[in-house]
Amino acid sequence: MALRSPCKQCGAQSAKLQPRCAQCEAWIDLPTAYTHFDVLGFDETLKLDAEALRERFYALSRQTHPDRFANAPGLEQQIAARWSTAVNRAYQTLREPTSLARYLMELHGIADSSKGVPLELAESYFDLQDRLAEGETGSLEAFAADLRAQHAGLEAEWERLQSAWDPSAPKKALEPIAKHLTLRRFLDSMLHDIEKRQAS
Amino acid sequence: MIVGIDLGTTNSLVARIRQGRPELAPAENGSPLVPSFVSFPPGATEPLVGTPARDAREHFPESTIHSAKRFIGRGREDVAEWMQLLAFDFSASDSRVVRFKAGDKTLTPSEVAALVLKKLKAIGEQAFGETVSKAVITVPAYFNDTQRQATKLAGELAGLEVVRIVNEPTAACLAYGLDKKSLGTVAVFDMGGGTFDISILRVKDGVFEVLATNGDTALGGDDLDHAFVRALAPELTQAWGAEWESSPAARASILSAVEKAKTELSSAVSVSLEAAWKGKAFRRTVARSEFETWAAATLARLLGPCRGCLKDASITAAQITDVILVGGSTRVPAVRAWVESFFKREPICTLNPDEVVAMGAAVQANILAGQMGEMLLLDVIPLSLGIETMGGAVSKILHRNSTIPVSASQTFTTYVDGQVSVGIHVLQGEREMAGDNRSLARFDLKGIPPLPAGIPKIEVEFIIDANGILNVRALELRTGTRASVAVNPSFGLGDAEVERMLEAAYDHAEADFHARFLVEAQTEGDSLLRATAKSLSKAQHLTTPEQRQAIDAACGRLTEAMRGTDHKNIRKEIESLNEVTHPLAEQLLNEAVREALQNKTIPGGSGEMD
Repeated sequence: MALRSPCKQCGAQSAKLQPRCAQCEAWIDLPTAYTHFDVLGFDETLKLDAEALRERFYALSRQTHPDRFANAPGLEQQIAARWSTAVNRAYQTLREPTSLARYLMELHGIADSSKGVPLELAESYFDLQDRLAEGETGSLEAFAADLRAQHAGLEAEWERLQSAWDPSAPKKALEPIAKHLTLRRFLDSMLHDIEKRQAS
Repeated sequence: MIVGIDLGTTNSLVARIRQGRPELAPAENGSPLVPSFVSFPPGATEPLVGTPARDAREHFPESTIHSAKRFIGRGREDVAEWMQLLAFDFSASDSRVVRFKAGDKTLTPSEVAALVLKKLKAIGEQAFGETVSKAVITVPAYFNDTQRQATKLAGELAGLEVVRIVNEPTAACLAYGLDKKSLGTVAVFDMGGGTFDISILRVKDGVFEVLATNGDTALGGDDLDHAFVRALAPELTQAWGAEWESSPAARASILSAVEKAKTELSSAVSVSLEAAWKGKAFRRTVARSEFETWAAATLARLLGPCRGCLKDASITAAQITDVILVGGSTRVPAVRAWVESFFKREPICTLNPDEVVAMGAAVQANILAGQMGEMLLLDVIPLSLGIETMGGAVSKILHRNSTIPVSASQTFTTYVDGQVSVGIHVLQGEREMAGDNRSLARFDLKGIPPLPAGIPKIEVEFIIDANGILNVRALELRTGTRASVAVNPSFGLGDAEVERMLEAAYDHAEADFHARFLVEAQTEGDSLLRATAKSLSKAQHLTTPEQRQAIDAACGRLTEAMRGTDHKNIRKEIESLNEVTHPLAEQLLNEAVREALQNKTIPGGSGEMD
């Protein structure tokens, strides 16, 4: 992404987006377009080390949080606030693996296909709808147990999908992820429906 | 100076940082605890505030107001049950805002809180020997936006600039973190007189990251007192007759007695309780075990928020390094036992639970003053924010426990063909339906081109700054039509009414205020003139003759204004001098950076930096 402009103060070029110039420490305002990965200084990936991510978040917060510039000139306050806002937003999106995956899908134009019921689940999905409509409660626990087993199976698969990331072919890794996330979402919502019925 | 203030349901405190250590201001009786009581004894011209007001409750229960924090920023329907339980009266009106009645006066909760804050300001000035003009004020973490704004208003009414509203459990954690900058993952269990909060923070190398927060803004020691009274009710009826229940004096008498008994039961296993009404005495021995039975239902309400908080922080109780106790109610052994059994570890309370919040508020005040080194608080919003969509559902735009400052946007569209405006209804809360959440603001985006339903793209952006103030913008992406609103919820008070309250507060001390504004403006003008002179001497080579002339003229006008007594005029000239010196200041800054750069060695000589 072409977003690294030279430092306005000293002209130094930097390979990474950062709040201050590494050479002269002048503030560098955020460009108009950037990704959450740019802001936190990571390459695109499906799997970020949680500890490394948090360390980076703390370091950037120290550099940019508005509380540190409560008495600074207005312009500095504004740039810091813009950075801090972007850092928080990026951290909140990337720290949770499925939210990170959805964000990557968005970046690479992969549609969230959650609208329709996935084929694999169609039969049990409509079966459940019927049972719920008929007010059945007795067999729901067994049904839920089956769904939970499927859910656990998906979770086991997750790590393999994450590791399949290849920056040169992002779509190849993201397409199965999109399908996986849709399945998960449907399982979650079906389990939620059952729990709601059981609670009532 | 900036002080830290803990504005409590029962007691309030004021603190500052001196030589890196928190210092609490003692009130007249030597204790830093100032009862959050305001009393208007018949015939008195000035209200009593603090200890004298609490002492007055016994004699004038109907004109002594307390627990205002329970009501601040809340509508009548939220607190109806509570209004029954107190000895003082409420003004009957159809307004949504609660108003207390004390003699011939009616006051809003913000006005009562303002009287307490004014008292704290005076105590702080007396103790610290300096003018107190700014404050960090703490509120329960689970206070909604309306309650926060109402607290901020109370500060303004008291003549304080509220530089930050901080969550009480977070403040407590800051106080604990002063000595130990890496605490690990900490749960702060904060049970005060009227509110309960649970927060989980990760503390590492001076960074205090709030992971999640939860609570109940109407659960505290008062509830234990009222459970106590309810349990004694049949016996009271026997001793006093059924009419005690509707007598404010009887209620005040028994409330004082159970408060005392509750406190004593924290150390004794059995106490004797005494209360009198209309010359009829009520005596009874109460065992701690009895009290604990009565308290059980109240304590059970702690479970939901604690579980929710762990879940939101994505951790288990076992992953908590320490549990910190805050708030007077954590002195109750049954509360401690509950905490210990839930978190499966002994909680710590090495700092006084009544004082630790004010100490932490002072720490945050110093952080904002740039004097706290590496300490930094990363706070969150306690409740989700969203807008109402078709059918009265809520679409969440910012989720609870998001670190602030933060922004997020979502795109919506129209519902009807040819629709040219949309109403944006801003909501706060976790419920799925709009009607169950707190309504913060409404505004319209007009001028959408008439297109078939579903075609316009309306982007709604929520922006929250470090102060937790929400700005909402709506933008129609095809045409660039915009609308925005700064959300300053009026908690049912109209702007005119807020203004009236501010004016009324100023009336009392208008001369004072005038003098203060004048001194402040003169001081600021003075330091600006000095700074300008200094810059000009350094930057002769940077200014054109025209610039120089404009600056000199502005300096002259400011000096002239400072000789007068109109602070607004001084402010005006400060602004205008600031404006003409702005380009110069920028050039100087650039120059300074260039100089710094020349003195800096660049490792490896030339080439690309990584």
